[in-house]
Amino acid sequence: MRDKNLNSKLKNNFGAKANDSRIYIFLVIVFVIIAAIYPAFFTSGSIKALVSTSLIYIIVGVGFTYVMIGGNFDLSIGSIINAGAVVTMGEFNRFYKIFGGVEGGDSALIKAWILAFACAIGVGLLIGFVNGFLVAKVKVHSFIVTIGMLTTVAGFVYTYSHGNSISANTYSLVDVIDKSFVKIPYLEVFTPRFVIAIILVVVFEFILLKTKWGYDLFMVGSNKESSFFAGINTVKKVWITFIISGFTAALGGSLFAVSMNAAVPNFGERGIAPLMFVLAATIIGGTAMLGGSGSVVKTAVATIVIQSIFSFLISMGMGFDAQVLAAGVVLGAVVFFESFSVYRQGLKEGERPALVLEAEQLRLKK
Amino acid sequence: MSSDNSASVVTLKSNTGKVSFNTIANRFGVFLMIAVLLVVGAFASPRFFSGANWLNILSAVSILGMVAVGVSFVIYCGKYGDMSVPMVMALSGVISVEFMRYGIVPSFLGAVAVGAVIGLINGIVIGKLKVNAIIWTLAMNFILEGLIRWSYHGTQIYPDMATAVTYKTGFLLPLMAKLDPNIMNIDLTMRAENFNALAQTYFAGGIPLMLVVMVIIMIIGYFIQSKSSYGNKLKVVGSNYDVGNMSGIRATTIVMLAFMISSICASFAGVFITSVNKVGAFYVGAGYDFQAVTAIILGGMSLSGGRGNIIGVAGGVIMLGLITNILNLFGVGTFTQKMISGAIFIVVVAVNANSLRKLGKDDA
Repeated sequence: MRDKNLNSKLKNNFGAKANDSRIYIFLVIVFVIIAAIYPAFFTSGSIKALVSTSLIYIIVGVGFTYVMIGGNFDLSIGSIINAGAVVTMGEFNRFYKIFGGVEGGDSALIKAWILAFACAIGVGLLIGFVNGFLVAKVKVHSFIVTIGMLTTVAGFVYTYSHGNSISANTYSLVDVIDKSFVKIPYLEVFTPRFVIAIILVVVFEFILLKTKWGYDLFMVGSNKESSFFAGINTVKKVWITFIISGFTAALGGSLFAVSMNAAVPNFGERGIAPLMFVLAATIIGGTAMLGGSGSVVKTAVATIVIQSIFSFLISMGMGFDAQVLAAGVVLGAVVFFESFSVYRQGLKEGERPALVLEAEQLRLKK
Repeated sequence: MSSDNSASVVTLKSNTGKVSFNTIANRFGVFLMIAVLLVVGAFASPRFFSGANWLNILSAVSILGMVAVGVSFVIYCGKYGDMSVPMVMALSGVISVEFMRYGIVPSFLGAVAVGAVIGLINGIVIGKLKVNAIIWTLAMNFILEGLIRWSYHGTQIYPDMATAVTYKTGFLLPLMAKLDPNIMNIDLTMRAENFNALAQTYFAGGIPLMLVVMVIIMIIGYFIQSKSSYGNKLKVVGSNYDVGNMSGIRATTIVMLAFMISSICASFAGVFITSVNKVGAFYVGAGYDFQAVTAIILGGMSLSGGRGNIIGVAGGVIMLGLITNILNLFGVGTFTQKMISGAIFIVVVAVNANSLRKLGKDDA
């Protein structure tokens, strides 16, 4: 009796494994519930809409997950998204004019788009570089740096756009970016934007899991001192995670702006903030809040799960304000649950199940 | 190696009583900067030193001052900041407009009670479960935003148009109307005027009520933080949580009270800002969280906790007011001002962290 109990307690890894892949379990449960209540949710068209809404969060989530694995937070992503969006649109209009506009033909169009994207991504990289410098090199706390950066970049975005929304002067790219490659139901989701997101996720997941660089990053996130003594350049690692985050946030923002053919300076300020969405998705996806573990793919899956819950609520006739509340509650519940489990683990620290069981049995004998 | 040497030299100097530049910068930095700003202001405009301009500066920062005193308690105990401040302000404003039916005092009490409850929740979660304070208060901020928007269906609440409210939407209004149907018959015109007059009340010489309240909150805050036994415990917990816990201080309770103080101060600010704007809505407090942290860091309070005092915070608040005023006098736009204030924040925090490291204190 005693041995059986002991073995089952000691070898009970199932809980840990289930927690590791909880996001897939969560995905299945959510889809089953939705399918039971509202089967029309799984038509090809609504799946396509669901995916294309989540794309911005999936792209931004890549960099956010990297920063969080390194043991920091990047709260400035909301502003970087807006910066990427307005810079893409504004610079495209400027370059298109320089290259001759409509008379310039296709070559002017292509050159202008490439330069516009380069500018937007350059802005993102620069912001990430400064964030990384202050966090890794000057060693200021990442919250504080990125909150300051959030305000600074928001000021830049408003100054750049004069507080107005900017639209591109042509519809050249908006038709391409969200156009399906094939017209087969359920394969319609494969748009250029989706493919870019998939490539990003796969490449960065590969770096994380299969290269020495990614392996070292996990170590930096879980214990900075020991990784320093193991000869890892922790400053450089943390710095690069912030640069990646700036890159993905700016790219996500500019692709989103292209798909809308317009950029607003205050996307997410009066609605569901991207920060709130990505933060919730990253934590549900299993990235540890203190750093040291996580996965880009799981963050992407979590994004799809959360977005499908929201889409489901919309199709059940829920208003926008109720959605904002739901998003906040989801984030709060996730943070609370995660911290509560860490707290419970902390209480168990140093506990020895074998000894506890023995003590219990001794007590029972008496 | 050379940097290590210089660091130890600086530490030695400050230990042997010679005052190093970093120590001065830490202790009196904000007042030196204020002096510089005064000189700049004199060049900006001849109107700068007029009494009216100064009253203008002070009343513009009085709401920020109330918030900053509260948040300084959170930073003093080493928890980096309270991001739920904007929505606590908004919620208190909304609640105060709803309670206005019973008069000004119940309206204040209602707002403060709501603030205290939110502070209690924050404090329990952060103190007991040791959740990352910024992440939790950020989540709280989003939840409260959702609650306000959901209960008002995204609309705003105007004190002077409150008669038009149907008592079907609202945060507590439907409940209040159900419990006490008489409130539907109360004539609100007079009460709304009283409520809106809160921000327009002036004492002798044109000193606004808000400014007086800010000064009172600062004085009370100073005595609690620097002269009371609670303040001492807060300092120990802020300097080193584990040491505080082991020396018989209930660190959980201390942290919880700090978050309650922060929320209560934000509630006061929320009532006043609602009265200034004459509208209660979810966005009235936007940006105050960040500005408060800026003022506090400018005032020499360390992000690692346990250092600084309210006098410095007051200096930081006044300095932010001066910067805004001078930029206005120079004709700089609002958006650019936002950018400049963010940049100032980053530079100040970086310098602060760097000088603390040079002093060998910590890596803030």
